[in-house]
Amino acid sequence: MSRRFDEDDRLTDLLRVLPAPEPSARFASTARRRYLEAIEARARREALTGLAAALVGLAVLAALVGTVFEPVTVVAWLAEAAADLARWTTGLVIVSALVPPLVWVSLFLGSAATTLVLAFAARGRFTAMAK
Amino acid sequence: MAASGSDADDRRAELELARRARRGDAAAFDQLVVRFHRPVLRFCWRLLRSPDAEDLAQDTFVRAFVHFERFDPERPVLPWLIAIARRLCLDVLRRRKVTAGLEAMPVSDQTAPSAEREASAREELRRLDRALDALGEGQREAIILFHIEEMSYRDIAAALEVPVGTVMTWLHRGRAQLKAALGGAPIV
Repeated sequence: MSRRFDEDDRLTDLLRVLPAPEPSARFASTARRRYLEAIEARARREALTGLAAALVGLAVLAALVGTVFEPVTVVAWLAEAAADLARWTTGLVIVSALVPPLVWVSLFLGSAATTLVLAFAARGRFTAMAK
Repeated sequence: MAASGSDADDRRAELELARRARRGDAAAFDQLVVRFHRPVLRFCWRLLRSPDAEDLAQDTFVRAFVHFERFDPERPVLPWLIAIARRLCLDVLRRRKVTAGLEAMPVSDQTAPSAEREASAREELRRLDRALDALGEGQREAIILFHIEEMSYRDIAAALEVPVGTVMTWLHRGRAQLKAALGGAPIV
């Protein structure tokens, strides 16, 4: 038994003196460069995966909406909403062009004054109730 | 064998470094490289016997700490690194035949009192080196990790992804073949 252990020890000693290379002077710096490149690549990959997931999610949502509503109905509703928005915008532009600027200024100042008066009145009433 | 308090602290520190490296902390990565590059490189070199060993050793660190989510925190870091290095080396070996560069090997720095004894010791090392190369894959890896890297049976089993009993069998058979190759010649 003891002889076997001696032989194992001798074998270990011999195995440890077998020549093996030492890491080169550039080992750590090259490993670091490769690590940083890999980390960057991983970040890019994660961003692309996120984008792809968002697009897939959007596609699934669109498909679900398509199954609940008729696609023709959805398109008609969107077209109607766009037409309403265009009508309102045109109306506002026409009204603002017809009314003279002086009227707009007096309207703005009057509104501001009314708002301030109402705010002060409400504050006074609130203070009185608190007392 | 239960890990002592110091071992447990070391493992915790290694794990923390590995987690930081996973998050992109280059300083933590550097510390892990400094701590483990020698055993990983030696292991790669023993399997490949070519200058590719350094490239694969670096690749081992990059893969390990960039894809850290596959790490088992119950295991120490070195067996895990060895397991990754082993897979990379086996891939390379499968792709091409690597021949041992025995002739180009540096002379051991072991001193001998005479030229005759030095020649004898050198011859013995050559025989051992050839015998180590001639061992089966598992036996060679187990011998390297146990006798050269001083890893425990449990850690070797984790690194080679086999049961502890298999490691013990490989070691027993590997030792027997190496001793037979040495042929009872005197060891200087």
